Amino acid sequence: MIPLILTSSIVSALITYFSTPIIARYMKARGHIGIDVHKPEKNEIPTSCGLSIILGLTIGCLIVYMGGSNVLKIKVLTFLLPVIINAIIGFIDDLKVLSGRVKMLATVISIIPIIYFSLRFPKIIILGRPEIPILGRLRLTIIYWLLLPLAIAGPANAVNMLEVLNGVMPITCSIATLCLLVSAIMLQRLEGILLSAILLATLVAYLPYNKYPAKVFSGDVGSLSVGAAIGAIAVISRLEIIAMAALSPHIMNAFYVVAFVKGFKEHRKIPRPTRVLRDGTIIDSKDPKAPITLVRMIAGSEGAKEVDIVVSLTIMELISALVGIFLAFLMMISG
Amino acid sequence: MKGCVKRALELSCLVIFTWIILLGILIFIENIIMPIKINEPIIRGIFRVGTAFTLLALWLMMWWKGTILYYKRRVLKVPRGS
Repeated sequence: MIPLILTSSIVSALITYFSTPIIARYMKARGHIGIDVHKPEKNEIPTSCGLSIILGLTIGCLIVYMGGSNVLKIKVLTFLLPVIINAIIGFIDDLKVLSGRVKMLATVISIIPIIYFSLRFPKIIILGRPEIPILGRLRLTIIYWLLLPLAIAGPANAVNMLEVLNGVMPITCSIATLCLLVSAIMLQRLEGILLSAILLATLVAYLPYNKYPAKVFSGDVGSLSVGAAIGAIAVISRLEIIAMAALSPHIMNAFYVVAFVKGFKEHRKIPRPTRVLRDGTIIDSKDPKAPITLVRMIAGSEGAKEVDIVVSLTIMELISALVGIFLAFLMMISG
Repeated sequence: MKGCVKRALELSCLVIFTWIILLGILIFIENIIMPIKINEPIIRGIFRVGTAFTLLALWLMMWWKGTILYYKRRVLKVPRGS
């Protein structure tokens, strides 16, 4: 199994690393660019380059599909389909802006492949009764099924909502994925180890291009699909509670925005929570109609540089990942 | 830099505290609410799901109120009582 994990991860990383500049050049040539609003120069950056993450992830999964057992094939397919659906939704959103509600509904639909495979192969894809530390498997079967549609849509949109600064998505998501990988090793969830390793490899390979100062933007195609991938790993490997803890900063930010605007609205239609000074300092906009976001709270009234906010978010993510690993440890010792 | 790292650490504490309360709620539902014997299955289902949803809604409300309070006190620095 170790050679399969290593091969698929290395190939995924190499494909992502070498395809990102090619995709970036193509996007720039087609005029598919975004403005780096947090820089005083307002640079034009090629967007939707998260396609390279999907490419790496898909090829890594295909290697596992070809070299793995039948059980692993079903699990890999169950993982890959929601990710691809979210990538398509994200790409459509990048080309033609979708309303917040439509995007949320579209991402909810991406749970269908997981439910289908769970009904078709109930012994392989096990849904219901999530595991938590101390108590073990809960009896909240009805609530689990009621909340299941959010298992993919929740992390997908939460990751998308926090992807506002250079490098935040690959840094925070790779830490969250590392937490899932360590937890999967501790709890001996084979599919969790394999899928987390592939996702981690692609994110690490993508990071040099997106880190501060960014040369490429992931676009919704990247952020929605990475969030969906983390959600799918959590559901398939039964690591829901650990993923929730690891994605705390994202969940926190999404919760604040949704609670503030009382629903799902496209971010371009909401007043900006922060403004950028001439020297590049990001500061609280103090607009009472703008939502309270994590970046707004961290920047505060005195303001902070983009790179400092990214460091602060990374610290938050590291703490959340440690909490996730601690929960996995509790689950491991309680059997 | 120092201020924003400090706020990030405080927000991490807030979220850890919130997760601990959620864990407490889940333990309460599992050990207190679930064992209550109700013979009628429909009423039992409504009681269990209703109680769980009410507790989770209260948890979300507490989280939101805590955030607003934090934002006013530590970010906007509004003095107490105003």
